[in-house]
Amino acid sequence: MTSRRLTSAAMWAALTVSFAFVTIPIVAILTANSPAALLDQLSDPAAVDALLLSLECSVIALVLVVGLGTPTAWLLATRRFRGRSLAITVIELPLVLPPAVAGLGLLAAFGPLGWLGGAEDAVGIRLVLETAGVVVALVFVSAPFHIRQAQAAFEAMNPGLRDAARTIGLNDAAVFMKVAVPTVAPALAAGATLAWARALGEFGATLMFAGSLRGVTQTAPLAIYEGFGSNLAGAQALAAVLVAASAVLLVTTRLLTRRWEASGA
Amino acid sequence: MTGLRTSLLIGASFFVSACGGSATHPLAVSSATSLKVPVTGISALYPSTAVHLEFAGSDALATAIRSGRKPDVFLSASLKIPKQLAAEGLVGKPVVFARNRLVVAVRSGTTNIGSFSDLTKSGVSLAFGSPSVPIGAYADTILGKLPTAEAAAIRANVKTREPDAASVAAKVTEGVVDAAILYASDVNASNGRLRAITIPAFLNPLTKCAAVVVNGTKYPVAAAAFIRSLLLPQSQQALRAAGFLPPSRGD
Repeated sequence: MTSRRLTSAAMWAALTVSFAFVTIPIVAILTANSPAALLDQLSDPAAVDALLLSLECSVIALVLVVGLGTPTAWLLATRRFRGRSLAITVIELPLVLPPAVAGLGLLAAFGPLGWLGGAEDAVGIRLVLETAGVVVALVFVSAPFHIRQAQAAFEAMNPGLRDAARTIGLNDAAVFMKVAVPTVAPALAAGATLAWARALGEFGATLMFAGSLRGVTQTAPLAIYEGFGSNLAGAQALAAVLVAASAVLLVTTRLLTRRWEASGA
Repeated sequence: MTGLRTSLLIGASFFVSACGGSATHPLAVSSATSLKVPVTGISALYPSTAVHLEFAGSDALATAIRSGRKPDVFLSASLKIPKQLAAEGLVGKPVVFARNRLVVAVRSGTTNIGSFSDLTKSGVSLAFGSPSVPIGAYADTILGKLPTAEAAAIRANVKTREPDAASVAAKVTEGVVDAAILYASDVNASNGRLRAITIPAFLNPLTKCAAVVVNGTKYPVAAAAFIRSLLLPQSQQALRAAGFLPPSRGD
């Protein structure tokens, strides 16, 4: 009896420590500046530029991730083909790769001296030092968050639904568009939201691949890092905005996931 | 009982030697990224002093010191930053141990840039350090000495502002930009991948590298000794080999 109570107390203690460990730094960021000082820092045009650029790049990246990632996830979930598990591993790799490795990889592939650098020149595309390069970095690091979730949702979908759709004569593409996507929509939205949150926070790959120039490639995380050397209060104000945005996106993910689970599809 | 006494003795002797500033505890040295090659070399010259090296932009390291993450010694790529820290009471008196020159760095084999004035050509892409890191602040100083039109033409070509000298250099070696304003020592450290183009002397601020003991260090004696060792002939030799200049008499 006593030992059971002790174990329970230890678990609550662990929970308290885990909670405090995350809460204290977040509260410290939010309270580093008075609300008036925070608003003042955020009215700095450089901060506004960084936040707008982050919004723009992450939304474009999100559209690409959902557009390419959802059919990818459908095939991975519904087909059995040679190399499938290798494909899954490779697609999920950016989840665990250090962002600096992602940056090096993107440079080696799409940089001016990289594999496809000559081809890019030939068709007049430039990614490095451009906003497009930021989008590339964000897609690379955030796509697996959506694909993983979408694949799990498609796999969990009632197989009867698919069979029924086939028996009424729908082909695979129609099953995907008209049955599967609407059925698992909340789960897809949850995955997309998580990918969006990851994209908003991307730092290392963006800096290495795209660079850091205000209004062109300097997203909010890059502006935070620059501010760390010159304007700490400004960096903290931007950080507070990212904390708030991440919290909203995470709560959205949870609500969507709950809806999907409740739907029982 | 004997075992306990022995361990107490060992503990006591460690304590004494640590307070005496000898080498039992590694000295934490935060250094500007631009000093990486010579500082790494110098720390190996004196094996009796164990040193933990950390490299980042001088501005970021200064912020770390202001935020309470304090090394024992701070090596800055500019004299301005440690002077500010000293005025705030956070570090001791700066000791200039080397100087550096600025150059235009291009990838070896590049032909479209042959002189400093080519930086104004449209279509040339440049990397600078961010304005708060010394390598970026010095680049801004140079532009400040130019006629407005030329400065504006160069500024329009700056496509990225990087957190430290090493990442500025990487943007050139990776072919992301055509050229950058860097230290002569960065070109030296590139193993032939970069080539230096001289910046006219009247534009070129001779930069000073300064070392300070961080106030509150537990090892003030060892920290001061480390800084003194930077001025010893073999250290100066390592700095010269890395492309730095010796401090001038007045420093």
